[in-house]
This record gives sequence, C-alpha cells and structure tokens, in this order.
Amino acid sequence: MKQIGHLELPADLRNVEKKVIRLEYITLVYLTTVVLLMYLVMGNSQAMKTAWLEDLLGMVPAIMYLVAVRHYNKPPNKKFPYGYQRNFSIAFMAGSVALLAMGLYLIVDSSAVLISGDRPTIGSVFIFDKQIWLGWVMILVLLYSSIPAMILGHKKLPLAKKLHNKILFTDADAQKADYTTGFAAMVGIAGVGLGWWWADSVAAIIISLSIIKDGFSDLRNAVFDLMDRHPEHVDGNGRDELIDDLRKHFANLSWVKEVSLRFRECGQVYIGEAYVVPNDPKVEPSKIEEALQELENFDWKIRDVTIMVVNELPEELE
Amino acid sequence: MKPFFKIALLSIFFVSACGIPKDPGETFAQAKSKHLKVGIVDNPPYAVIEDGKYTGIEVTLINELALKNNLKIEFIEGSESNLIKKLEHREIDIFIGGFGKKSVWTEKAGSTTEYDGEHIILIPKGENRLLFELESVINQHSKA
Repeated sequence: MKQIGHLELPADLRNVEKKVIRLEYITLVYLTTVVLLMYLVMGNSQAMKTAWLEDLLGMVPAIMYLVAVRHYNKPPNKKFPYGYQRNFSIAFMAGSVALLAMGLYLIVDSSAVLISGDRPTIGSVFIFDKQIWLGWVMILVLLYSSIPAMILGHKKLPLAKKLHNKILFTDADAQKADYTTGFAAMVGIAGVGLGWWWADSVAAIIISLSIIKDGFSDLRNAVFDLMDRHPEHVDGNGRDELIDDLRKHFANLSWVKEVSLRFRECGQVYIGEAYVVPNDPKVEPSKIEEALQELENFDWKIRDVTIMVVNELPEELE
Repeated sequence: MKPFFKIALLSIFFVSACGIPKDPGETFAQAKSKHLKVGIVDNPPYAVIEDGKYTGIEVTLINELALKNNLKIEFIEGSESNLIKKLEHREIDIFIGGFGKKSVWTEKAGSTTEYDGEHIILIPKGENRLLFELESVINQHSKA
C-alpha cells in the first residue's frame, strides 16, 4: 500500500502555490517599505501609531505562510505519522492570537490617550524650501499603505480559496479591507488639521476595534479548526459540500450498502473516516484498497481516509 | 476604486482649505488678537535675562516670529516647573530656556524641531498652527 497521508498538490495548484509564494514575498517587501515610511512620519499621532502597528502585524500572516509552506508537504515519518499538514492551522492560530493581543493593547493605549486629553503635536517638513504640514505627508503615506495593499489582497483572495488556505485567506481579506483603516487614520489626521485634537485618538480607537474584531473571529476560526470541526469553506460560507459529494461517491460503490462519514480539517486538506456497511459481510480487502485508490482522484483535499467495515453504522450525530 | 476617488477629492478639499493646521486651543489666533505670552528661564546663550532685557538665540527667534506675524510679546519669568505647568494649562503660549530635544519637559509639552540640531522651543501640546508658524521662522533663520 502507498504511504498514508502524503499530499502532493495537483499540478495546477502547484502553480497557484508558486504564484502565492511570489505574491507573499512581494507583500513582505511592500509592507517593509510601508512600515519604515510610517515610522518616519508618525510623530506622536496615535492613529498613525495604530495603523503602523497594524501594518507591522500584517506581515505576520505572510511570514507564517512562507514558513509553513516550506514544511507542510514533508512526507509523514515515524515521529509525525500524520505528516505536517496541520502546521498551517497552528500558524493561523498563532497569527490570530497576535492580532487579538495587539488589538486589545491598542484599544487600551488609544483610550488612555483620549481620556487623558493628550493632544497630538504635528510639526512640518520642508521640501524644496516649501513648508508642508506633516499631517499631509502622513495622509500620503497612508494612501501608499492602502492602495497597493488592496490590489495585493484582491490578487491573493481567489488563490487562497483555490488552495483552501486559511492564513492566506485572512491575509488577503485583511489587506483587501486595509483601506478602511487607512481611511479612518486619514480622517483622524485631517481632523487634527482642523483643530479637532480628539479625532486622532478616536480614529485610533476605531482602528483598534477593527483589529480586535478580526483577531477574535480569526482566533475563533482557528480554535474550531484545531477542535476538528466539520470542514468549512475558507470564506466562511458554511460547511463544505465536498463531504456530501464524498458520501454520494461511497454510496455509489457496488459493494457498499450504507456509509457514514466523519471528516475534519487539517491545514489545507480534510482527513477522516468512512464507516461502511457492505452488501456482503465478507468484503475482500482488495475492494477497500481499490476504494482508497479511487479516492486519490476524487479531490485533492480528501486525504488520509480510513475505511472501516461495520455491520451497523454508528449512531447519527445531532 | 471608488472610495479612493472620494479620498483624493477630500484631500484636495482639505489642502485647498486654508489655515490648516489649526490650533485646537486657538493659541495663535489669540496671540494675534492680544499678545504672545512667552515663558522664559535664564539659560545663556539660548535665553538670557539681564536687567529686565531679554536676549539670546531663542529670543531672537521669538522676535522674528512676532515681526513676521505682527504680534506683541509679553515675557513671563518664573521657575521651570512653574512655567511648564502654565504651558500645560495654556496660560503661556511658548516656553524658552535652551531646552534640549531630550528634555524631560517634552513629555508635558509639544516641541519644535531642533533649531540648531540640538535645542528646541516648547509649546502647548497640539497647538499645531503655532508650531507651524514657529517652524517656518526656524527654517528661515537656519538658512540665514
């Protein structure tokens, strides 16, 4: 029998993966320039600090993905008999904890600034002897932090769905929506320009709230995956119908009378068991091996299936 | 791309709107209508108090600011801790005394860029119009 649990992506998805890896490297280079520029101009604006930390943290999913993608495909071995697929789930979990923690820190920090009435002092720069208020420069940098991010997010999103990869998906989704935080910060800075000192920390609080919201829903998602929840679509559109298709596939096998499935997500793929009541209680082991063989071509996401022959199906789950 | 179009329009609107940045505490506007209240402690050669006369590099800068914007200056003497409290409560508009850029007072006040690469002038936090005008003078002075 072939080694159990070793995944090789289909050729087309291998190309998608190569593309994604390139895009994530581009993301990292781009975010590095964003973070540096923002650091240079942020002065003591709380909104800029918050947006800066958000962008800094935005590098985490890209890094996590690039690290995890190097190892997930290693064949199972004696020490890790189920392979390395799950490192994506672990990376996703770690990233979401970081995001949530940062969001909580920032909301406390920004609220303290607002409550203490600490007013942002924003000076000016001289470019070719023309005096420019630093707030305008901040807004320009925020535009730079928003528009390319949005384009990158749009490019990565469909690829993330194809690869059924949650870190990628949340990374792309967050970047696609990055203009909202950028816009909040811009409004905050413009507000300061109009003499509304509180606009800065209010914008920072709004950005913190959005970080907390993202962090919380990611963490929830990550924990549910690690708790072996039924496979779901990466975009949060509920249960993956692939498992129902698989049930039909089993039911159509000539030697199968009844079948019951139990599947969970493991990184990008699904693993699980099929409980099968055969037509004839004496099933040839070769029938089962054949069925396993056929699954290889069913869908790349279905991996590492155990077929258990039983006289009676386990009780239906509620 | 639609939101960016709006952002661009908004930015243009804001840029063209004059008087930005504004002071949240109206310090500069009040200095214009009344007088500019400058706290000073003796620290030669930056700020010098001698026989009721005020001289030094920082006083020169303040004079240039006053000249450029047609302001009357009122100097207020006191102890550092007393004057910084007044600055915090916006009872004075500017505080000079040869403070370095790493002075502890920068926690409690806003500051200009270093006019000589090292020293700064203190202003009430967030009074960005006043800061804008002061830095304009500092820039002109540093070229001269």
